[in-house]
Amino acid sequence: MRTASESPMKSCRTIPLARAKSPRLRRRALVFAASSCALVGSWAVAPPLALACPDCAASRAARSLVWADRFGVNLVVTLLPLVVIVTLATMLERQHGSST
Amino acid sequence: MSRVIEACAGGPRTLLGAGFLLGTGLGGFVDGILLHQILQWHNMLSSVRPPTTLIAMKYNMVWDGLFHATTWVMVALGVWRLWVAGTRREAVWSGRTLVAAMTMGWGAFNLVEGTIDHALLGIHHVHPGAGELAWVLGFLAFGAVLVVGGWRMSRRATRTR
Repeated sequence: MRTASESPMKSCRTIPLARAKSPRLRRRALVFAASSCALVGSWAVAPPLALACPDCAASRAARSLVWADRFGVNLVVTLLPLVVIVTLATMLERQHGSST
Repeated sequence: MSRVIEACAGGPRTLLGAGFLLGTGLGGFVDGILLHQILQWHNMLSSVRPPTTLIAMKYNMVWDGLFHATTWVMVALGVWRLWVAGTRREAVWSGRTLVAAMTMGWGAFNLVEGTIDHALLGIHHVHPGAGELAWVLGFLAFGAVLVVGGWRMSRRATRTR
């Protein structure tokens, strides 16, 4: 839980709007400040990151399972079709080259 | 005609290699994006560990990611080969040859992946459940059509040069 001193709304008051001289610029600065504050505010009320993925229990369990469940075999199986295709392509290219 | 082909030795060969690699990689992306992610018919290891729980789903997601990483490497290699072809003065810059090679590459991906992963190892199937075999055969037939079509197109492109 974040404390009041960490509130993002406090820092929003310190945005130097006075620097914007023309009303048009001041309006733009206000819109920008409001959007920024809304964005930071929504982040402030979001649940703590520790509960969210990628650090959630399901993600950690899945990652452990990937390593524990025949990782090497699965990796070879995943890469095998593409390795075969590259080999075939190289062979065909050499053959085509020698025939021309 | 043969003199023209001789003069171009190395040109179409490099373009064919580049197109083949690009076709293989992009064909892999079609499989991964359309069948794995959008339609969700299967995942890389969905017959080994069916994605019926969140953990099994995430497990399959990791292997889908590794598959996509490999197809990305294929596309990168294809772009590199295309660059090499572009730097050769003798290279024949034929759009038809490139499209033909890409079509053959996509077909080769379907044929090889369909044979190894679906038919031999059975780590996943195109559309598991009723009519599973028909989907497997259809996938292979589509691959064969692409290979034959691409090969014929490349022959025609060679003849017209």
